[in-house]
Amino acid sequence: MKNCAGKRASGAFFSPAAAALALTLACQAELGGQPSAVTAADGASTGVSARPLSIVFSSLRQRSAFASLYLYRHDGAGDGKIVAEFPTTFERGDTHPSLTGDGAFCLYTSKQVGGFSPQLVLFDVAGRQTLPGPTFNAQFGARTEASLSGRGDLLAFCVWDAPGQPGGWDVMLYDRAAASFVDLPGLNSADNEREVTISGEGRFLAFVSDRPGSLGLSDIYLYDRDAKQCVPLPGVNSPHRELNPALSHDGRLLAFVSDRPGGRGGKDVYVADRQTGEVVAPAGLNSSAHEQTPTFSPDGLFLAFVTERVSGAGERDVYLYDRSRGQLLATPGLNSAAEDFDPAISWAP
Amino acid sequence: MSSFPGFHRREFLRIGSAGFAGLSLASLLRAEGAAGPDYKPARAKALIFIYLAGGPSHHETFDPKPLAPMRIRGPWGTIATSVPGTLFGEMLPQLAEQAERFALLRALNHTNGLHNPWPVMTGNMQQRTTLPAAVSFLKREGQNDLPAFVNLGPKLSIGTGALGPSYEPLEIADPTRAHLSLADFRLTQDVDPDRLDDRETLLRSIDQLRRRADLTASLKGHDQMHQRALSLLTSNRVRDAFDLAQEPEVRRDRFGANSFGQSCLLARRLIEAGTGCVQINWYNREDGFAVGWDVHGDDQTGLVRMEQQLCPRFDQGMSALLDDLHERGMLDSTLVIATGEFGRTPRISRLGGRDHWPYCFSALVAGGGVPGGRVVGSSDAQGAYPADRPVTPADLAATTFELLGVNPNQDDRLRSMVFEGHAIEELCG
Repeated sequence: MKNCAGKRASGAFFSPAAAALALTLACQAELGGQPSAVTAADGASTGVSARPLSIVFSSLRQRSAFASLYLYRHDGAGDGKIVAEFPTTFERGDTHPSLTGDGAFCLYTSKQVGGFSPQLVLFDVAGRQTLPGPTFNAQFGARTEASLSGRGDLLAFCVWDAPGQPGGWDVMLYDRAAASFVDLPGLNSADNEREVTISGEGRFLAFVSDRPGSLGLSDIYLYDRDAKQCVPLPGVNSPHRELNPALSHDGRLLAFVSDRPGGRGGKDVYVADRQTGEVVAPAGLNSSAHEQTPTFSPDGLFLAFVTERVSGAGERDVYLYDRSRGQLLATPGLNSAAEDFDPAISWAP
Repeated sequence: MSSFPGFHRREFLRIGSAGFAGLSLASLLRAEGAAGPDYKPARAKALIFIYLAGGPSHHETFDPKPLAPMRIRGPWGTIATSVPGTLFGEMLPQLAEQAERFALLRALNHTNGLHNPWPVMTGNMQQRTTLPAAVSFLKREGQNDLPAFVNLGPKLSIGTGALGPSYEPLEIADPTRAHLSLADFRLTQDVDPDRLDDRETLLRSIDQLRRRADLTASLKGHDQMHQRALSLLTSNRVRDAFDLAQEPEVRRDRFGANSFGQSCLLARRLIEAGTGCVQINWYNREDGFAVGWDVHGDDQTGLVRMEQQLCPRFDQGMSALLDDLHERGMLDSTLVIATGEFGRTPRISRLGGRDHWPYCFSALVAGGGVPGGRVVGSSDAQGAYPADRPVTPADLAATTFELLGVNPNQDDRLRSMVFEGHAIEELCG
């Protein structure tokens, strides 16, 4: 299997069986996670996706206090339906899912009510089963905003006030095959680094920080693991708020949210192309309401995001945008009268 | 001394010790209350009281501590406001632009750390009548057939208290859709409650009943509650006031497509139409968990709900309400108060959240003659305790009564609301 040679199924953080499964998982996901239709200059192709999409999202539709995760299958054109509800337990909220490139596996944050530490849960979407989680779950503390690389071999997340870290929210990166944390020199600071997301191929980490030197309020930073430093993001940050970064598979495209002047109102979604230097608000995507938490499909053609519009089904709703056609796509049956949020999007397995 | 005529605690004690054995407390108070009001004339005609259930973090909203250590200042920065020198948490950008329109209390405090609306809603832990209910009772105003008192959002455990059910507000659980129900409608046999499950059916029912009422006198003779329901049902003005669909979508979006935002819009419509008092309760969760602003980090880790849900909605709805009231020339005559039952702990927990903290927190007070841009009181460097000019819920109650020109000491049942409260001079001018 491509690029799978040398992967080590260590049991240091997973059980041996889980590690073996993880190795298989990573190899399968790597193949499925390859971009399939990147043709245009900025990564956007002109045709309708030939592959159906999976959208995993959180919803309060059945339990008003605790979010559950749902899997929605979309045809990439305008039709779809909910095909599964992830299993959960009493008084547990499941949020912030992240999918492998092939959509076969999902990582999410799970919080049991009370003083329990949040757990990062790995779920086999196709097999409909929960896999053993990383052993660092047993450590007490807050961790959230997990993000999987396309192959599922790298796992980025944020921790609060963790021992050995500079302080506040910090970014952690875990190599699942090596069962060890990856050094990120120069990434974390004594201020906050949060809302981390990893590019599909695993090279870039985008995150939000209030560290000194920012243009103002929360700003977005991009860390290049090869260069071992943050790289410039011209046009992305402003004196206003920049939040919710999302990366395309190769890290060229950065979607984010800003409440800068000139938008449609509230927080709007923008897409930065690091190659051309363009930062644009996708036509027809934003509204006078808030838009937030965008996320790319593996090929960068689709954006799933959350908005809260009077014309929507409920309070927060998940919308799907086709970048190649510059329009919102119908998502019948996806949203409810309750809160629907935290979308992750990938190919349907 | 109380801010209000008719009851002077020290004086009462003096009289009592002088041996007026035959004079009961109630009769004394009644006599004093009947002596006639000499309080200041009303500066506000209406009240919108916004109860932010769960207890908002003052650190992330109106009292940020940017120079404090990380575990205290939290993960967000501060934003400059339209009032020089006053900073808000960065998640309130739209309110920051309107800071000159409202005052802040930054050293509001009490000692009850449980989720309990009593302290801030009644002025103390003994009273069971909420401030909006008392104001509504004392003003007894509801013009043009409009109900005098409307509650938007979940019903609280306390309400009219000793005033009795006759003064209960009209309850609307969710103005956005599906759950709009006017409690009084259930008293009439002309309308099947099952037909009132959703907003459209409700409005259609109002139309139908109004047409029937025009043709028959059979509804005469109903008791007062029935008559009240009838007047609500058959009034065009009532129907229009409750009909948010009459607002352009862009305005509804401006307030926010959520229960709080639409409640703010409906509150403005009701006050504009003639309702005297509207209470908005930040929505609760039906099963009792994860109450509104209660960000322990239990349901979602850390303070993420502050970022994605709570602050955007509050910032949007509250700023839209103030903006709309101002543009319509209603802000000067409408007192708007927004506060939770308490604030949050200065130190962020290991779960990344904040726990309950009643010893110092913030409240927003706008309109009704309150000078905008004013910040009353301050907290210490950690936002833990008042550093200057502490005020209590009883002070807030006294201030509310004074601005609305009503005297709680007119009624024995309401006297304890301002038992030890003093109208806040900085707000009353």
